[in-house]
Amino acid sequence: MADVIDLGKFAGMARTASGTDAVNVQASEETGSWTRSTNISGSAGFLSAAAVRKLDDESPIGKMLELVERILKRLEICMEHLNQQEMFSSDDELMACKRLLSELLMFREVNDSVGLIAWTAYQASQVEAITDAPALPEVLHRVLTRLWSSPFMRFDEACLLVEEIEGAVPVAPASGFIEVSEELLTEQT
Amino acid sequence: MTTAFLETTVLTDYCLKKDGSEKTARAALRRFSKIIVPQFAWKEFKRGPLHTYAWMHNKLLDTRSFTASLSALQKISRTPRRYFTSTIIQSLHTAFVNGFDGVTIKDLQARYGAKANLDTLHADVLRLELKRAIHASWPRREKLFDGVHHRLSCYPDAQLVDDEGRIETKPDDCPKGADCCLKAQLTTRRQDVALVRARLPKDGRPETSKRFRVLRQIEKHQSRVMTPKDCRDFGDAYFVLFCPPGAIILTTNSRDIQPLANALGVSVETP
Repeated sequence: MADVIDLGKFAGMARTASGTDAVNVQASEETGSWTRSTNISGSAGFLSAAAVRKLDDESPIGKMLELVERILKRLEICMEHLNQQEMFSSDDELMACKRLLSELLMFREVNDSVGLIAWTAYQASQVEAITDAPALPEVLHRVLTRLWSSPFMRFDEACLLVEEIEGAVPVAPASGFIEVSEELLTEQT
Repeated sequence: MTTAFLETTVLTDYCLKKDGSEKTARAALRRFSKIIVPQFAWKEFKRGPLHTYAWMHNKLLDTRSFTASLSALQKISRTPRRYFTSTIIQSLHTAFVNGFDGVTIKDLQARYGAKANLDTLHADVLRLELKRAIHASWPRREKLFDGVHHRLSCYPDAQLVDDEGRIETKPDDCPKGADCCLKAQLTTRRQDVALVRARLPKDGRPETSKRFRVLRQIEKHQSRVMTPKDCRDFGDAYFVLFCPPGAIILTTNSRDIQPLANALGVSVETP
């Protein structure tokens, strides 16, 4: 069952002590202007990302999905330029993506998977020029498409996705990580 | 075929570090055709490095402030180092802030308010990187390097627990009162234990004194319980006494392990 959202989490409802969702909503057929491929789960209690956004695009998750959609469109343009060897235009689109990715960080409270992917994608986008990482737009597009379709993915999956980003371009750890790590590990000896 | 018997320090470099040590460890491991990670190394790893990573993660989650969390680390460290003066903490944060375009941040702060607070953002991304390192190590122990070797029957190998975002590492040691499962194996090798004990350096360090005491207890008082604390104090001696025949101990702590290994003719390499 791929590309679905647990509606209980979306609605911000607390989980019950038994770990079951507080609300269950049967997904209904999806229609309308949403253009990306979507999946409606056959199981009760889950909705696709697209359906959720249609239900409430003013919610944090709705706004986040809309922002990811904008980033994906710009990445598609970036890749088109790259294929045409139009480096200035391609790089310009990546710079625009960088700004949008910094905005995606504002949605890190949706969950830790969103936060980790947004942060790594933002760090990766700080290349000096697109020629330093020509594979980056495609990888970012693949990862963000996955985030768009499954924003409540497990953290372990998000870890694997950021490894894909790091495969396209070296990503520096956050400022302070190395120093904190050294201090924490030196404590052990 | 060369076999590496992985000691906790190299396991830690491989799993948690991002300062280049992880690359050195990776390169060193490529020299071997087989890598053995004993459960003892995972046990030390969880109780030590992983626990402090989880502590930092939980502190960042609790304070949602980079500067406050580092200040807490500065206070709690037994041996505060050069990195954590107020000036250095501030400069680390400034380096983070400089990674953002000034105009963008002002715009984000106008539209998103507290969510665009850079101290909070810095704390959050550092926490996420720590969480990632934690998730990339402990939960993968059953698959990494063909899984866990030389299991300890008294050790409760347990998953980490996500408690409303907090990472809980307990249990991280054998139950209180447990008699270490290694004792039975060690009491049949009293001569080896004595050889290792004789090679302990006379350096006056508390760690060495504790190891001396445990080894002597194993050698001379087999009926005594080898408690979880005794097992912890046993430490480096484990890797020498339980290194499989023909294998090489891979460690960054050759200063402590090499003299003990010499006693039994065990090979030691550093990455």
